[in-house]
Order: sequence, then structure tokens, then C-alpha cells
Amino acid sequence: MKAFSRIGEAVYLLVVAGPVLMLALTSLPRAPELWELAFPRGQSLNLLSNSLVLATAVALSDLVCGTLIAVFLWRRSGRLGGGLRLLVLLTAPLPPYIHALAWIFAFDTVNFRALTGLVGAWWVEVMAYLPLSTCLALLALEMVQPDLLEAGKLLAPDQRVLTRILGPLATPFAAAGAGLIFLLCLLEYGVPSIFGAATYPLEIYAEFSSSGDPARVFFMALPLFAAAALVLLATFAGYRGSALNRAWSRPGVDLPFHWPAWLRWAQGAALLLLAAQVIVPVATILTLTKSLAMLGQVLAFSTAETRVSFQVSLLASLLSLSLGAVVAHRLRQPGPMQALWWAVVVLPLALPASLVGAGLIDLWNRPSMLALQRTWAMPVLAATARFAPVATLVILVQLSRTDPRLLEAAAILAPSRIRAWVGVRIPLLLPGLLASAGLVFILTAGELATTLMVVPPGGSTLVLKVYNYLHYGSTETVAALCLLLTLATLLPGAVVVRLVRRRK
Amino acid sequence: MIELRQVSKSYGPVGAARDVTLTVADGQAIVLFGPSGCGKTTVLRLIAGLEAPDCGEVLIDGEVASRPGWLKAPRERKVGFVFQTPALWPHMTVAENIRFGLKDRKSEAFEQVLGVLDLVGLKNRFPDELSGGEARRVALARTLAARPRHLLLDEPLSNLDLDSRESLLRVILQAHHESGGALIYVTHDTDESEAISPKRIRMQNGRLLQ
Repeated sequence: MKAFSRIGEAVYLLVVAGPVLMLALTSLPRAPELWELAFPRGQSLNLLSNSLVLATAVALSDLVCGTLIAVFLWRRSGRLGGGLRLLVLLTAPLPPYIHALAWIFAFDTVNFRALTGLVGAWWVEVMAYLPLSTCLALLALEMVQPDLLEAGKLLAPDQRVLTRILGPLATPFAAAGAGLIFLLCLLEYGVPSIFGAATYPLEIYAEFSSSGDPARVFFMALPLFAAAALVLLATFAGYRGSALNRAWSRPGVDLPFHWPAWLRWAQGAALLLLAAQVIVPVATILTLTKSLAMLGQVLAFSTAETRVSFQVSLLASLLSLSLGAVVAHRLRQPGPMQALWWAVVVLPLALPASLVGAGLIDLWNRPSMLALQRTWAMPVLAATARFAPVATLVILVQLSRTDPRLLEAAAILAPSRIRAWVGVRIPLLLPGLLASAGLVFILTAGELATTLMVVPPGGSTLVLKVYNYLHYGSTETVAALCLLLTLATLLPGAVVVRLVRRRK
Repeated sequence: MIELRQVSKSYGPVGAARDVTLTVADGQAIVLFGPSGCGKTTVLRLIAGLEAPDCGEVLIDGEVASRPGWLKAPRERKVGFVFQTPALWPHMTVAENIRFGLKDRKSEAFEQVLGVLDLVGLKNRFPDELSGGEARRVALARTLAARPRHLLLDEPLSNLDLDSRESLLRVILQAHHESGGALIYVTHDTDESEAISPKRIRMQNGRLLQ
């Protein structure tokens, strides 16, 4: 079992850290020549500030709105609570640029033209990441042990319990959530490019497209990586503390809280935004698709792309799941290497997608690997390099929520190690394993930036097809493709949610 | 005075408290005991307002404090509750934990409980810097500093050594004597229950067996 873990760890290092390490190794000798690219000036500096401002604005807006909705949903059971939670999950898997298309169509319909540039990108990204920020804020609230709140309620009004106990205890994880959204926005260029907002990741992609020189991309990406890594280090301390805290598996109780009027009004406004981010994309796509016949037509000429998207997403999720499970166990082992492993898992999240793409090309672009480059293995490796860290962190949370005594008892009582794994460990970890696989599947299905760089010649995924049709396809075709992509991501998501619920 | 009138509470199919009727007069102390899961903690939580009854009423000092669908806020009930676990807020120091429920930050009660429970030297520490016994003393201090009229104590001294238990029992009995209210004490320990009160009530399957 130890040898298996070591092999898994080595493969993880190769797939996740390998591309960027290889890029660093081949680029650093050219530092004297290219070093100045790491210090953007003039227009590049403006683009970098645009990216930072946009990502900060989106992360803060989503933190506020997501927290308000989460406080409303927290401890709310019954039909209203269940229905609203479903609403949060419904559009969570949709890639941000589908939201972008929907909002552009919606605002065009009412002749509202203000949705352009950075403002447009901000609005759409706030909407697109609202479900994620709500889920993370909800998780942060549910991690607070109920007896700490009960002890507060016995002594002080609810508003004081909110500001002095619930808020400070939930803040570290909520801040990690805001940090994650900051990263997603900072490193993404799909939505800003749709709104004509020039950002730094787009500049990196443009540089790679024109020069094809991975070393230039490496040095250009350094300031973006530095900003992302700083935010990660500042906010992920909260995640790490929470993920390693075993106590938060205790079930909550139905304790009524009475919030002040201003908070209830703010919650109402945030709930309206939540409803809008569901209604606008769904209504727009359905309206524009016009008929089932159109959907059938699009499905018929996109069969190959749909199959490829499914295969790539499935393989990437299985690979991420296997590697993530091994490394999540490694993260829980104390010792001098633990901090290093945390860096290996967390820092790749700060890598711009274009840099991962360039690194993959640099790592695998060799004559002996030519066969690999002509297959769909490259997009699978690209998705795994980007999303295996996410799978690892989700599995780590599940590991931390599992009572260690149950695993210890299995280790003592099971007649063999395999029986202990199959009979106890895997069933106990199954919700986390399913959630991480589902999440990687959804993220891969919507991944654009890296896939665009490593797709084999003549090939396309569903998301690439949407991206291409955006530029020269008819509105109806784009809408039908979006609907197809939505169904392709929602259906596996629904299956995972159902399986996780059943396990619980 | 604390009164429960035919109070029931279920969690799904499990009846945690069934038709519980109980009166604890001012100045009176009772001990609740019984096997694990018999509903002792649920009874305390119903009195404290941390759970709403499915049926029946809870009265505190003659006023209805809980009935199905309606709860008076826990902080307005003048009850102090010490949980089975210390439940100290990890982001606050010992002093901040104890002062949390006090309107006046310079309250005399704060200094008094620090002295009585021997916490003066610990007041700037955080909960993760305390031993199990120290954490229990802080939890008791936090409850007593708010000067509650009635005390609900859920195995407050479990896992403590004999000396600590005896000294804390003295503090509890003194606080009960000074408040003049009711005291309900849950324990499995015979010595503790004898020190608290001769009135012992057994619970089984959610019912009181007087």
C-alpha cells in the first residue's frame, strides 16, 4: 500500500507540478533576456491592474451576496430551504461565458447597453460565481459548532451572536471562498474577452499565440502568479485550519435566529440576485433555442464533440480522483514534508490557465511523445493539472469529517487491509469521492483556456465549439449548443447530488 | 421556579422527552440521572429555550417561556446553562469569554468569578491553551458571571479529578444559594448527586420516574 501511495504521489507531482516546473527549468536560463517581461509597464501594467480590480470587485461582491444568502439558508429546512438550495445548485455547473451570453441577450432585448467592458465582465462574473460563493459561505456557517452558538444565545441577543461569534468563526473559511473566487476571476479571460475588457491573462494567451514561445509566457505570467499566490497564502490558512479540524462533523440543531430588519432586507435583495442568475440564463437559452428540433439538429452535428467532452471529463475526473485521494491522505500526515505538500496542492491553483497550457506543451512536446500529442490525452492531462488540486481539497474535507476511530476500528478488526478499505474506508469517504469526481467533471466540461492550447489538430470539445460559434455562428445555434452543454454538465451533477444525498 | 407541564419532544421517530411534568421551586435543587440517551439533556435544553417542545409548556417564574411554535429567547429566561463540553469560543480569550454576556464590561461579577474560580492568572489565555479542568472552570465562570437566577448543569464536572470536583461543587452550591432560584443538575456520579441534593429523579426512555 505504501508503494502504491508513493507511485500516486510521484504521478501527482508529474501531472500537476510537472508542466510548470519544466517550464521554469527551460525558461530560467533565458532570464537575463526575458526578465523585464516579469515587470509589466505601460499598457501591460494597465491590463494587470484591470485584472486585479475586476477579480477583487467580483470576489468582494460575491462574498457579501453569497454570505447574505447563506445566512438566510443556514438552519432553514423544509420546502423553502430545500427549494432555495436546489436553486443555488441548479446553475452552479454552468460555465461563466454561458452566463455572459445570456445576460448580453437579455440586456439587448430591453435595449440596455451599459453592459460592456469591465462593468459587464464584473456583473456576469458576480452572477456566474454567486452559487459557488453561496455554497462556500453556507459550508463556512455549518462548520461552526452548534454548542458555541447555543452558549452565545443564552447570554446575548442574536445580533451580537452573529457579529461576535458566528462571524469571526466562519470568516476564515468564507475568506478562503472569496480567495478562490478571486483566483477564478483573476486567471480567467473568457468572460472579459466577450465584453471587450482587456485583461492580463488574455495578453498572456495572445503572446503565446503570436510568439509560440513558452519562456516568454512564463515570465509574463509571473506577476499574475505572484498576486494569485499572495491571495492564496493569505486566505487558505482558514481553509487549512478548517479542513484539518475534526470537530466540525457534529450535526447541527434547529435553533431559531432572529435577525435585524436591515439584514432581512439585504437578504431579500441578495435572494433576488440569486433568482435572476437562474432565471436569465435558463429563460434566454430556452427562448433562443426556439424548438426541440433545433436542439436535435445541433445534437446531430455535435455528436463527436459531445462524446469527446464526455470522455475527456470522465477520464480527467477519474484521474484527479485517484491522485487526489492519495495526496489528500498525504496532507494529513504530520511532518516536515507536510508544508511542502500543501504548497504542491495549493499553489497550482494560482497558475494562469495559459501558463499551464504552455507548460504542458513544453513538457510533452518531444519527438518520443508525438503520439500522445495527437490524442485526447493532452486535454485530459490539462484538466487534471488544473483540477486535481480541487479534487484533493474536497477529499481532504471528507477525510477530516470522518471519525478517525471508525477507520482505526476497521484497521484493527478487518481480516485484511483490502477488507478495511472496501468495507469501511471507501464507503465512509464515498460522498467526498463522488463530490470531487462530479466537481472535476463539471469543471472539465466547461474548461476553455487550457484546452484551447492543447487540443489535438482538427479536434474540438463542446465548449470549444460554443466558443468558435460565438464568433461566426447564428444565435440560435449558439443557444442550442449552450443548452446541450448545460444538460451535459447538469445531468452528471444531478446524479452526483442524488448519490451523495443517498449516502448521507 | 421552573415548571414543565406535560412536555414532549421528539427527533423524528425518537421520543427524547415524553409527557414530562416537573416542578422545581425556588431554592430547590434536583438531580436528574438515568442511562445515556434517556432524555436528560433534552429536558435541560427545553428549559433553556434551545429546543421548542412538540407539546406542553415550560414556565419560568410563573410565566410561559416555551410552548409549541413559540419560544422566549434563551437570554431572557434568566437561566444559566453549563454544557457537557465547555463550549468556549476559540477566538476569544478567557476574559472575553466570561465578559461576553455582561452588559457592563467592568462588572464586579467578572472580577468575582475570576477570583472564586481561580482564573486570574489565566484570563489572557485562549481556550486551546487551557487544560480540560481549566476549560470547565472557565465555562462555569462564564455562566455564573451573568448572575442567572436558575442553573442548569449538564454533567459539568465529568472527567475532573476529585479535588477540582469538590472545589467546583462548593462554588456551584454557593451560587445556587445566592441566586435563590432553582437548580437542575444532570450527573451519573453518586457522590456528586449526594452533594447537590437528596432529591434525585430518574429518567428512562424520555419519561421521569419520580
